[in-house]
Amino acid sequence: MITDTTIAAISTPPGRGGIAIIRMSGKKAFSIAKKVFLCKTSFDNLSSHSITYGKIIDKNKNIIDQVMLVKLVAPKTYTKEDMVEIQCHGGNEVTKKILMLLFLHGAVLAQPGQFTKRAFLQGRIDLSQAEAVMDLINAETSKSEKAAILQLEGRTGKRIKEIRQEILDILSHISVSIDYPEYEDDAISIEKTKETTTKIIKKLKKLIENYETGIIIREGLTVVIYGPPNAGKSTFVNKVAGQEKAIVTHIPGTTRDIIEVHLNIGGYPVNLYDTAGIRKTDDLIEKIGIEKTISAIKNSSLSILVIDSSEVITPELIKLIKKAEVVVLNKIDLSNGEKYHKYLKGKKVIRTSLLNNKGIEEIEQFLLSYIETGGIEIDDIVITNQRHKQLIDYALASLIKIIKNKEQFLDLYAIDFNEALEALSQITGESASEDVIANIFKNFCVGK
Amino acid sequence: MEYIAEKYEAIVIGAGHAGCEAALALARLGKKTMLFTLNNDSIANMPCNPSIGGTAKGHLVREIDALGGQMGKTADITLIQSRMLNKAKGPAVHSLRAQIDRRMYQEKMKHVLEIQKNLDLRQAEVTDILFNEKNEVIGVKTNTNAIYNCKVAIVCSGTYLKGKIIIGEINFEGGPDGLFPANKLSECLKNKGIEIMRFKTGTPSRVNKRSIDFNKMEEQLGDEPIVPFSFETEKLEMIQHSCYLTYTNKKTHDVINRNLHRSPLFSGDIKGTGPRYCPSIEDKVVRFSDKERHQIFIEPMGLDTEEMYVQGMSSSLPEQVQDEMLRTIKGLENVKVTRTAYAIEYDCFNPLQLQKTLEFKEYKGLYSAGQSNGSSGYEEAAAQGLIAGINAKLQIDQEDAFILGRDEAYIGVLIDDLVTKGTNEPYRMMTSRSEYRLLLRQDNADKRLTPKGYKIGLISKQRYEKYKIKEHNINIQLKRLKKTVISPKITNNFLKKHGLNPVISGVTLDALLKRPEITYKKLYEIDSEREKFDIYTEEEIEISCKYEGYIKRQRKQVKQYLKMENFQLPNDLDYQIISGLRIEARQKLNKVKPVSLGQASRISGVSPADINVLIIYFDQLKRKKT
Repeated sequence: MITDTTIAAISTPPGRGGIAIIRMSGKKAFSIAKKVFLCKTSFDNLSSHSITYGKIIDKNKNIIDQVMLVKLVAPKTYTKEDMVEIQCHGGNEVTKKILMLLFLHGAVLAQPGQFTKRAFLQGRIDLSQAEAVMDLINAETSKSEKAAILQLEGRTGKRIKEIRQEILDILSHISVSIDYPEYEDDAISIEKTKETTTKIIKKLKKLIENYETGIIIREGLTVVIYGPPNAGKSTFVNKVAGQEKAIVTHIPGTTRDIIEVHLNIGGYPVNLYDTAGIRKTDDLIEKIGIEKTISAIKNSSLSILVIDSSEVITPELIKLIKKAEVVVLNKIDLSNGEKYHKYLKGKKVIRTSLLNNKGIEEIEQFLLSYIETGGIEIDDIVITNQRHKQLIDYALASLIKIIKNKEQFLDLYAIDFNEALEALSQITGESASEDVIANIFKNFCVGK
Repeated sequence: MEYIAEKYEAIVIGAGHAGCEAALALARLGKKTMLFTLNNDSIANMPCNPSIGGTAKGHLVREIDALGGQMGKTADITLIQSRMLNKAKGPAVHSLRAQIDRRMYQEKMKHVLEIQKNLDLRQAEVTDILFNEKNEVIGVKTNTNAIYNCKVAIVCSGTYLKGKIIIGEINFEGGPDGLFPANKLSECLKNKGIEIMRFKTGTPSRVNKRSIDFNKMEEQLGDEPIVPFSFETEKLEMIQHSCYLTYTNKKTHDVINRNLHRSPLFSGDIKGTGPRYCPSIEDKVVRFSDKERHQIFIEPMGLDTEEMYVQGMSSSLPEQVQDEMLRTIKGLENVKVTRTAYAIEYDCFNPLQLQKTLEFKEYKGLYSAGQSNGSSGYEEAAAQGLIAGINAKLQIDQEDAFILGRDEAYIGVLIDDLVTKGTNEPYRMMTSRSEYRLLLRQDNADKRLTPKGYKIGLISKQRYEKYKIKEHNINIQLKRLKKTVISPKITNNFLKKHGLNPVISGVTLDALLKRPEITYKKLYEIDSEREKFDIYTEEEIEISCKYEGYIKRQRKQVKQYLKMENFQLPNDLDYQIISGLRIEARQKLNKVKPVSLGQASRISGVSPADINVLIIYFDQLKRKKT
């Protein structure tokens, strides 16, 4: 809003690319850049609007990336403020790491349209463009909100909401003790408050622990395709991969190899594994192949069972279906697969006729929503949104203050709880103050 | 036949807590004022709790007093028990609450009105408000066909407008406390185009003291010494009267559950929106069915009466059920009820139609204050009355409006909430509604507001000088604490005595006082030369020093807040034309017409992105002009 913050953001689209560009604008842009950029001459001596080679280093002087940096001295810049552009290697991990470094030194994440807004407010853009800017702000916001909401609908969002509710509960408890002092039943002690806070801190820390490595972003989603022979597994992989210009690699080993295909769905890296058909067999080599398949399923983020809807149902197949979460019912052009229906209840089912290109889009859409709603089977829930990370950090800082606080008055703890709640509320898009009051009347029997 | 009665500068309609403050402020500021009331014997009535103050409400009373209002002063001379709540919960939430002799309060307040210069008091029902063709107030009309001309009119109609009393299956037209309702005024304002809401509230039974067995209850004593509400009251000494605590039990809940079908709240006969913070006993029993008991406080109604107020038993169940459930309660087995509990439904105005001065945006000279704005509580009403009165005076004199920010007073929070967010239930002040409560303490209300009250003209020169001396003393002492270094030897003896770890080098008194375990009083042991002040001055010195860190933090937050508040928005703008705004934001902004970007950001339905759009829009306008 009307602030003098220094903002930074990744300006290139998400996903894998050769080069990514990070932009930073504001009063502290140069002082922050100085702390993370190592080059032959001193930063102060770099001339404006020229490009310089150097290295990005973290706090411990570890090199993060080799980059090209452009120093842009105000006012001849897009925002008319001091600006820095960093051209680093693409790939989310490196780019995000660099951005995090900038945050660490005091930059804040730019909101959608914020660079353009600053450009306008500084008089860079002429009046005729002003309306376009205003439209852009809400359009971009709704887009990024949509992306954030998608993540929030998943497990991550659920967890943040749970933690926010815990803070809300404490704060409501404090408020009840204060606003309704006569209701001693509902009193809460400072010790109890701190105890709960310690637990909340642990949960929040766990939530952002893996942020920097961002498992999904780094390794991609691992999807194993399995099922009985001839059900259409290879066709599945070929069709989905064919759409996405995949790189096909061979994993050598036995004659029953696993085929690994790397592709990109909606900007997210996905690794598809085509496995050997599963069936009862005495063939030793085939047995090894099946064991490999089973271990691949175990190590995957997601496994998809492909079955032939026209095939007869065998006890082995029923066993497989029972264990599966996602089932592709293929060859629906040959049979409607009705006999399978009673076994498929409660499972995600995609009906396809892969040879006829039917259902491929549905598969892709399913994979994308699976990634975005965070339904990924990894040990910990991972925060991947930088804004969310920043807000959680902020909440954590407030909560840690509470633990360290030695004051003996309950009310003095409310300030920090309020700050923590405010931060998490910004993630979930809820109103902090109204919710405290609503929560009081919902959970406490107060009033005359 | 209509007749022109008389001409006034200001007319106040209703002599409840809002009306009294509004009329007194206007008259004291030199405006010829008429105060109408339905019944001269029910001026400043307390139809519910016989008490003033409480959490956040106590803050309001102190603020009213610091600005030069009346409530605190009258409460001080009529209180029969006083307590400082939340003493163990932090300096910002210390709250005064007093039991009041209800009749005495009414009489004293009535007399204050009667002897006030420039103020006339008359019993009459105002049935119509008269406007000219520009929608400006020009007068009012009473039920006796008298027309009084005026420049401003302040509606303080409380719960009287189209009041309806509900007791179980029975309901009838009526105001609170057995008084007549005012049936015509809201109709006339509705026809004028003002948006009316229907709210509901209620009050418990009153019982005869003789029929209560206090031995079965817990006695609740007042605090000593008594801290007065008013900064002008020097000292209060009296015999205090007790309240008593008892509980509902399983039998009570059984009676309620058996008769739930007879409650108009559950049958749907009551349509008004009731307050969540003031649930009826049947509501509590249903919603919190796992609770085995609920607290009941028995409070005295006054010294010259045996009537007692039964707090916690607000109900709209039939009378027969009420009596039955009361008699299940410990100590009330043989209780004699003197007044039956009832629910009341009434008309009030959607406060989104008001400016922060409490004047209607569309009707020049028409103000509303108190429960007619959807609030609840005597203190909330009085605070609004005072602000409406002051602003009506300023308007007559064509001076700048008087508006308190959220960073300056609970009154500021109250009014900003009402006119910005609106309300869908009677609005009660709570400490949790205030963002900066370390700054808005009850002990420093004079510091925050007395200079303003003096500037307005409601604070006497003498009182202002006294306040300035207090402030001066506090500042000198705070500086002295910071400068005075105590040797390690003396410090360590002192710390040892209080069971605290020693220090290595000398420390300042300020640093010592900042330790949670050390109080200003204890500090006297090593600072015995210091000047002595009254307890209030010393209290403020202690709080200002001890919580300096928190206070500084909140000041920083206020700075951010003010940036947004000082970004002013025009009141004649049609937000529909700003294409970048979302549709919902356009509608809400048009309805509220916020005065600042800050106020705009608090409207529900206006997003941060919309605020950004507004910034750009106004910047664009500015550039077009230059």
